[in-house]
Parts: sequence; C-alpha cells; structure tokens
Amino acid sequence: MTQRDRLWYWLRIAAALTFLIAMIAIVDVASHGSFLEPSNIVRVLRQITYNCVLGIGQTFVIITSGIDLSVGSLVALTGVVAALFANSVHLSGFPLIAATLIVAVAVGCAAGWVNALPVVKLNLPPFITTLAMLEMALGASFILSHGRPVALQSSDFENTGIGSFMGGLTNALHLPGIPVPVIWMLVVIVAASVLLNRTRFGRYVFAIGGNEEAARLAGINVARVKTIVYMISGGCAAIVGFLYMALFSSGSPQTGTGDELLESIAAVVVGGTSLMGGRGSVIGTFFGALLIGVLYNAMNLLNVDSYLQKVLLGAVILLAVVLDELRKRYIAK
Amino acid sequence: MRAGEIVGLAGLIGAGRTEILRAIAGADVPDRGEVRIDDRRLRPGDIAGAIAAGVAFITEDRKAQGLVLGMSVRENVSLAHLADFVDRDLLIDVARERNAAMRMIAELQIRTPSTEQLVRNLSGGTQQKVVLAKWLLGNAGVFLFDEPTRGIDIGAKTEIYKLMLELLARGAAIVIASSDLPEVLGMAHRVLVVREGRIAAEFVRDDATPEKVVAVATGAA
Repeated sequence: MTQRDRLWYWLRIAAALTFLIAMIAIVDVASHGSFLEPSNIVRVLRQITYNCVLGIGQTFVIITSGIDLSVGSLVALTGVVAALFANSVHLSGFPLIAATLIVAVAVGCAAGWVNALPVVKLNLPPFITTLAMLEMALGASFILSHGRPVALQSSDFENTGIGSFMGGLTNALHLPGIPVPVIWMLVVIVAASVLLNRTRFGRYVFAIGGNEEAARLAGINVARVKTIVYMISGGCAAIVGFLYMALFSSGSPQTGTGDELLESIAAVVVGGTSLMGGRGSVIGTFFGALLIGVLYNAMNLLNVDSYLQKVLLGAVILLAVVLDELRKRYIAK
Repeated sequence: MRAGEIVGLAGLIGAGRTEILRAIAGADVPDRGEVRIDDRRLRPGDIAGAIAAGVAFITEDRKAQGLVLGMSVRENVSLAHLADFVDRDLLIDVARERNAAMRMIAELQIRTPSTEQLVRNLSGGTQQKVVLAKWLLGNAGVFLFDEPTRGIDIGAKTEIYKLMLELLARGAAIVIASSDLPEVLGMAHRVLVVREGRIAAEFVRDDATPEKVVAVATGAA
C-alpha cells in the first residue's frame, strides 16, 4: 500500500464510523433513548442475521465478478425441503437438527453447482443462469409444498429458531439473551473470513475476480474455484432457509422471495465489495448488513413511513456505489 | 531443446509464435503434436501440469495476462506457487510468503516500496519484473518468453537480457518469441522461423542473418 492508499483507507473507515456514530446518536436522542437499549441492539442483530448470511455467500460470488440471483428462491426451496425431510424421518433432538441442516445445505450446494455449470463450461453470464435457477427453485418449492407452508411436526427446532444462547447466564445478568441465529451468523462470519483471507481458495477467488486470464495462466483451476463459489452461496442460502424454517416452525415457498435477494446484494455493495470483482470482504458485508439494519430500525423507531423507508434505503445504496466509483477514479489518477 | 540453450522464434506478426508458446504452456490445446519435458509427456491444455513440470510462460501482455493489478507484489509473486506457502492447518503462511517476495525483490532489484505495494502502482518495467519474479520463484526449467521486452525502457531491457543469461547459467532452457528481430538474433543459439503456424526454417546462430530470416518469414525463400 502506498501512503495515499493507506490514508484513503483510514479516511474511509473514519468516514463510515463517523456516519454510523452520528446516526446512532441522532436516532437515540430522537427516539428518547430507546435505540441504544440492549434489547433493541439485540433486535437489530437478529434482524440482520438472515440478510448478512445471504450476503456473505453472495460476497464470494461477487468478488469473482459474478452474481447469484437465485439466493432468495433457494431460501424458499431449502426451507421447504428441510421441513419435508424433518417431518418424514424418525429422528429427534440434535440428530434431527443436524440431519435437517445437512439436507438443506446439500440441496443449496447442489443448486449452486447447477448455477455454476453453464458459467464455467459455456462461459454463460451468471446473471442469466442464476435467474433461471431463481425461477426453477421457486417453482420447485411451490410444487413440493403444494403452495402452502409445510408445518414442522417436531418442536425440536424451537431453540434454533427463537432460543437464546446461554439464556440462563444472560438472564442472571439481567441482559437480553443473544438469539441463537445471531450465534450462527457469527460462526458464518468467522468461517467465511478465514476461508476468504487466509486460504489458497480465498486468494484464488480474489485473483479470478482481479484478472481471470492471469489466474488461469498461473495454473489456477478457475472452473473449480468458480463452482465452489456458487456452491458456497447456495449453502449460505440453505443456512438461511433452515434458520427461517426453525423461526417460523414451517418451511414456506414464499419465505425469502421478497426483498431478501436485493437487500443481500445491497449489503455486499454497501460493505465495499466491488461489483466489478477482485475486491471485497466478509466483515464489510456484515457492516453493510448492519448499516441497512440500523437504518431500518432507526426509521421504525422514528415512525418513518414504510414507503419512504424504501426510498431512503435506495438512496443509501446509491450513495455507496457512487462513493466506490469516486474511489476508483481517485486511484486511477 | 537442451538445458542452457536459447531458442528464438522469429516470424511475422500473426505467424503463430504466441500460439506455439501457449500450446507448450498448456494454455491452449493444440490440434496435434506433443510436449515433452525430460521425456515426460505433458497433458495438452493442462496449465497446472506444465507449471509442475517446470514450464514458466511469461506472456506478452503483462497487464491482461501476467498480473492481477489490484493485488500486491507479494500476492502476485506467489500466485503460481501458492501451494508451497500453505502450512499444515491449510492456511497461507503470510510471513513465509512475504519473505519469498522480499527475496525476489532483492534478486531482481524490483523497485517497489514494499511487498504490499499494489502492482497497479508500479512502472511498466517494474511490473514486468514482478511477472518474472512470479516464475522464478518456482525454479522452473523451461522459460517461454513472449515479447519479453515490448514496451519497457532500455535499462529494464538490459536487465532482462542479463537475467536470461543467469537463468541459462543455472541450467534453464529458454524460448524467446519476439517480433524484434535483432533481439532474437542477438540472444538465440538457434532460430526457428515461424510461418502460418509452422516452423518454416531453422538456423543456427551464425547462419541466421536478418535477410535470410525475413525471406523465410515472408515466404520469399
């Protein structure tokens, strides 16, 4: 890094933190202190979990300069399949939860593999192939569920969906419990960060996004890395499908098919990952999801009209990409 | 070809010099023919296999094919041999990687403030040295240079020629494909003239005059 890069890097972080702190302070005062209440902070974290995990899978894809439009439908499909599976096996307790998770993730990864196949074999644009998967997965989840939510017969998923982590301890300390899904999110963040920043695979992901031909000529198996990237995205969608299923005690073909796709991409982009590929981070996506979550939460506390909320969210996303473009021009100079 | 030998590929632009190098390096699958290193046949189109067998392909267009401009010097230097820097717990040993990059920076006198400098910010000649560092790292035995000195200044050019001679002294074999005829005739022990994708003639160094090579290359002879 040159001195200029380093300066710019710290400026960016300082700007983001200043913005976040200023926003928090303003909202906290305006909402008469309810924003910074521990229970509200925990609420925000729980709300961003799903978006953040989807965004992390998407981060890998976007760094290779791809895109995965199928994640929302895969949440629906994996949730429905997981619920059908859980209802059909004679297991209970931890084995049931583990087996259901494995089935969901297997379905998500398989869908990701199918997403990648035409991309790596025929060099087709992932925008189209994952769009096709969006439709197929959505249709399949409606067929499998007959268009209705599949209610879980077992209550063993309750703790995964709505339980608190070490609830006894947090209760004793008079703190709000940390929701189990938030723990899942933290585990995904740590695992994905290590994978992206410290392993060969992660380095190859960046290299392919930065210059695919140079990566290929360096002996990197580009097709394999890309395939795994889409499988990771499908797997993350499956984790979200599983967590939603546990949360709602049912797998519904409509879960995940609303704003989830676009908001997860927004979290990635707001988090500083370049849609052109080659640059990005897992922790950035977490902060992107957090910023969006905080924004929504603040707007709710301040009773902002829900249609206006959409407009403001869109403006924030636009601001993020404009800043990214300005940064690129600054570097190119 | 033998260790310690430089073979030059001469010919007009579009004659197929680059294609020959790409086929040897596994970047393309040739229609026919085979590549052997130490009597072991390379699988066509297997870049990783060629690298493992000791083939280093220094491409013509360093920005499009040789470097990841948004990555650091360290990350570019280690890219083709990253497996060598992975420790037991499957993670990249960045300290060891940085040491290797520093060694290459010293060896090739790469003018960069640090191993973490983004390659994008380096001059053309320095970038070319980073590409060379990437391929020197793996102790390759066969170096394929495609237009090794195009678009770099005269000082860096001389350094690259010196480096080629050092590689030869260490027992490497070198192929230079270049449209710069004096460069080919000056460096190569043997000159192969390529025309329409085929070797049209072969000259040993003393026989190869610009007139003869051009005559074959243009089809006049």
